[in-house]
Amino acid sequence: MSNIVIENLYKSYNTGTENLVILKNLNLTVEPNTRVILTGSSGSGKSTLLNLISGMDNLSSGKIMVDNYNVHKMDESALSSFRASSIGLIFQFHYLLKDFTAIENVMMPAYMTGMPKIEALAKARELIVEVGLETRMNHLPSQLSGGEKQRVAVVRSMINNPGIILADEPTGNLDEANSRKIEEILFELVKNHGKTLLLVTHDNSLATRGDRHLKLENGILAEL
Amino acid sequence: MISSRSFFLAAKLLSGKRNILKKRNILGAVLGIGLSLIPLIVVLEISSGMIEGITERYMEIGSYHLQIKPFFNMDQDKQDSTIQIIKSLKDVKSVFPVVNGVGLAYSENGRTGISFKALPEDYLEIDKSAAKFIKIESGKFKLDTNDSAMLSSEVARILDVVPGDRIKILTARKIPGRRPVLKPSYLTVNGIFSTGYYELDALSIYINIDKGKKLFTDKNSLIIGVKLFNPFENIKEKTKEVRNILGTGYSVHNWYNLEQSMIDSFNTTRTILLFITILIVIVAAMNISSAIVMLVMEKEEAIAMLKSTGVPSALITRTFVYMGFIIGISGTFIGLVLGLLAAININGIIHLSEAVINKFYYYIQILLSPLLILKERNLVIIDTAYYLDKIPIKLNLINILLISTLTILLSVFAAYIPAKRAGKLKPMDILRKH
Amino acid sequence: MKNIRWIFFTSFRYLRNRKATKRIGPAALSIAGISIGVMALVSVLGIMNGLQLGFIEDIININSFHIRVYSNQIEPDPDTLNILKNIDGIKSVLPFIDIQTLIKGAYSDYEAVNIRAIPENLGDYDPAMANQLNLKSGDIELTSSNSIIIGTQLAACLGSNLNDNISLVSMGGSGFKNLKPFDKEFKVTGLFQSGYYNFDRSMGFTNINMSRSLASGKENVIYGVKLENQYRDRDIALLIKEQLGKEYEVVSWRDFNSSFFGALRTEKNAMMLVIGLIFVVVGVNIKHSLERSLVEKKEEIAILMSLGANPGSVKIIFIIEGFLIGFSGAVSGLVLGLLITENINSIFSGISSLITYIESIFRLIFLPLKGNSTDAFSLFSADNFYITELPVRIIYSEVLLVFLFAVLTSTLAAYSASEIISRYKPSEVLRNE
Repeated sequence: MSNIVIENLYKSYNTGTENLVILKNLNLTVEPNTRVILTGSSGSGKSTLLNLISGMDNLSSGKIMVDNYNVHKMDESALSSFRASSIGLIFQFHYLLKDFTAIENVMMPAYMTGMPKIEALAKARELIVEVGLETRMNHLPSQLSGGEKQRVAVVRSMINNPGIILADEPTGNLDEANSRKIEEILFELVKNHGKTLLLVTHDNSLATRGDRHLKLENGILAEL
Repeated sequence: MISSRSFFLAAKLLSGKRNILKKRNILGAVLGIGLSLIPLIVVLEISSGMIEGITERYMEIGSYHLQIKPFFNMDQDKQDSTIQIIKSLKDVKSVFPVVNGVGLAYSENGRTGISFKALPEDYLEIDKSAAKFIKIESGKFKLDTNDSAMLSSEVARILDVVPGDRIKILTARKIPGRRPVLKPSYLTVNGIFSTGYYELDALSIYINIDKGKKLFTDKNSLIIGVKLFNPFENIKEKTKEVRNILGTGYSVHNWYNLEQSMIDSFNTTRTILLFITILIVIVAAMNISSAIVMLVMEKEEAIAMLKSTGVPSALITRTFVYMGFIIGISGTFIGLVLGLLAAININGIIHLSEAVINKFYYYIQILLSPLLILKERNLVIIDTAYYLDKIPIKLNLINILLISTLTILLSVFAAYIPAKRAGKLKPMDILRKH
Repeated sequence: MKNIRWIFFTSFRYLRNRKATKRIGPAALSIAGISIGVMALVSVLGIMNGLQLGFIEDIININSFHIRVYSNQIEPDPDTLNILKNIDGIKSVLPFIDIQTLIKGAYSDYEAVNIRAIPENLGDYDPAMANQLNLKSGDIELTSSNSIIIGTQLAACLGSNLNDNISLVSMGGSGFKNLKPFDKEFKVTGLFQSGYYNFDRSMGFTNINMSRSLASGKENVIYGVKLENQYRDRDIALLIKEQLGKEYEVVSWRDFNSSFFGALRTEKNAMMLVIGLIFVVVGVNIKHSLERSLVEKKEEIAILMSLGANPGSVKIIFIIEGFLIGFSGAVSGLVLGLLITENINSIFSGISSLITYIESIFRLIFLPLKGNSTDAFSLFSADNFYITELPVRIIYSEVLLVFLFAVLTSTLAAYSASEIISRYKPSEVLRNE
């Protein structure tokens, strides 16, 4: 579990004709092992905020600390290892590697950081069993259903035991039944393995399931 | 068969600013063809030029167009009448007697074996086409007296003589049944010449024909050289004609018989060189296949949509074949221009390269000099000892046309296979992916 | 690097799947291109080396030696010989005198010949030259004062055979004014065939003790020096100059043959450059096809980076592909090239027969227009080239270089193609709509 500290975050885009301000003077502190639900209308910058925390995008000014890492003072290769070890990412689209089986997809982040293949596969197996996909683990993504693929994506994000899970509308592409399932699994896993969760969603009903509810509107963060 | 529709499609597919990468593929294929044609054209033109140049020199100075050798000892009258008879034939430009022999030459500072050619004193007027190749380096072409001698530049160098010097020669006369008669005599160097091809004038010396007859009395030494207006047409028939008109007692050979093995060996080398350069063009054509395959992959969606609206496969195929055609033509054009430029200026290019490399050579030598004593030596790329001193380029348009056509055909063929596959694509397979 | 295994794992998985989806078109063409380039280079080098090295060995062993020491002596000097033999690095010393003569067989005309007068037992002085001369019949020892050894081509011209008499004509005396002609009968005691036409046609060897009468006062003794290591010629030339003094002129084989060897080298370099063009053309092709597949794989690459892979590692995944294209192309090209080189003569005669066959068919259909020769077409005719078959010599270091160059070209092309990976930002690619 990790904590996040954001100070005076400011993010803008220069589109050539105008300067678009996405995030204005954002301050936020998230304690370890907290589950935060982030809502807001489309285009309000929720994804941007997640991307900034993971270092996938660059800030305009301000500071983001994850544990003791100053995310935006790291170079690319430091950022890569930081992401590999400390952050789990889940997107709306599963983004599984289509040339690899389910279990291979899950073990990949661990294998990349140097864990021996056998050990990584074993760990992956545990997680896959935990979400009930044991019978499907040697299948390629093309052979899995939408819900199954997203389940794989969820456990993939946890293989390296990151302190934070950043989930950007993980159920956006799924039907009602699958959405419920994914949400269950996500909250279950986060609780069992003790992680900080930052979940972006359109679904206001989820708001109550977390420890905190934040709303992002016009670049300004408000607590509910 | 040129359908304007597929042509427009081709043009449309090739334009479009969206993807620079795609353009670079096509550009790469075009440049590939262009680049690969340069060595082909240069090799073709240079080898043709060299072979023609060397062959021409041999024809004009060495073997002549026809050579007539009497099997008996010809006296002056018989010689004159024979020459008249041959002169009367049509297409005969000039006829002259030549005496050949070998001997030794000595000067104050050098010795060498030499090969004599005894010629009439007005040789350069009689045989204007030979005069074209005989360059007087110093002195004058003068063969009027018994002691006149014209030395080739190589002989002059070995003997270390200049026009005006005297040399001593030794020749041997065979007398059947008795010991050979050794005749030393003195010659005066009137001038120094070269023909531009080392091999041809390596150890050559020209003397007056009457002196030659005195030195070399053997009947095998005298030949009658014949020059024709058109030595390339019907040479066999013309040879026969001369044989017939002279009757028995003579052997008549043409330049082709005499130089055949040399010409054949040149042609073999040339064939092998051409084969290798053609290989490069083939590899470049494979580039085209590759580029078209990639283009097809790029434009998959567009193809699928066209096919689902009823556009026939043949049209799709033809469009991509046109692409290959366009690549082929532009590449060929670039290759031709650059290749011909290189070939025409090859002498200049070689001298420039030699100059540049030598400039660096000098600095390299300085760098390496601390331990070694280096001789002053310049790099020579084309050494006149083994090649002509200047490469003559006569552009052969037929060959160029042939190469261009073949290259374009090759490009079209290279495009055909991926184009056919493009036509066979199933729309649903593609649309499902996107 | 502990995390290198996953790079190979990923790379091989992509390559395996490429074959499955039949997207191997461009890659197969690239491999074929490299293969053709390597095959052409290896074969051509093999043949050129075969021809050139044959010449070079003949020339160095028989004519130019490694170092030529020009003296002012009329007869070989034992002291000079000793000094030379004792210099470190010198393998053999042969004193000789070159004389220009005319030579004639019993029934033939005169031919100009370069006579080299050497010690009686060549084998003792310069075994390498004795070997290179390749005596076909008779004896290399010039036991009597009128023994002569000539080349087979010269013998054919003169119509002479072993044990026949031939006469040598020359001018001797001291000084230009006093030159007097004389002739002498010699007996052919040996026939050699070195394989180098010039030598076999216009060279003869006689006993050096006889040379004085043949010489005209300008022919001085030349000491032909062979070295253990021919590339030390410059150093040893200096040593010789020190020990013998200024009156001796010392010429190394490099300078003596500079124009011929230079021409050979130029031909070889030009050939390699031209064939090397193939690699340029194919390299560009590889770069483009890899760029293409990288664009296709943009999403995959972004995913890998979001999972924590750094751009360098991802680049390596695709550079491996380039390397493998180069490697497989080079290996297949190498095998083919070596096969061709070893069997070049059968291949040539096969092609010649094929073309003759095709020609004869054409002749049945189209009557000869300007038919010059009814001879069989020969791609390589022995008579034209004075060798019975094409010699080949494979220099393994050159072959290795070609191999490495092929692999390097491909890998470099892949490296330059992979640069676009640096431009991929995961956040831009992996967007939620």
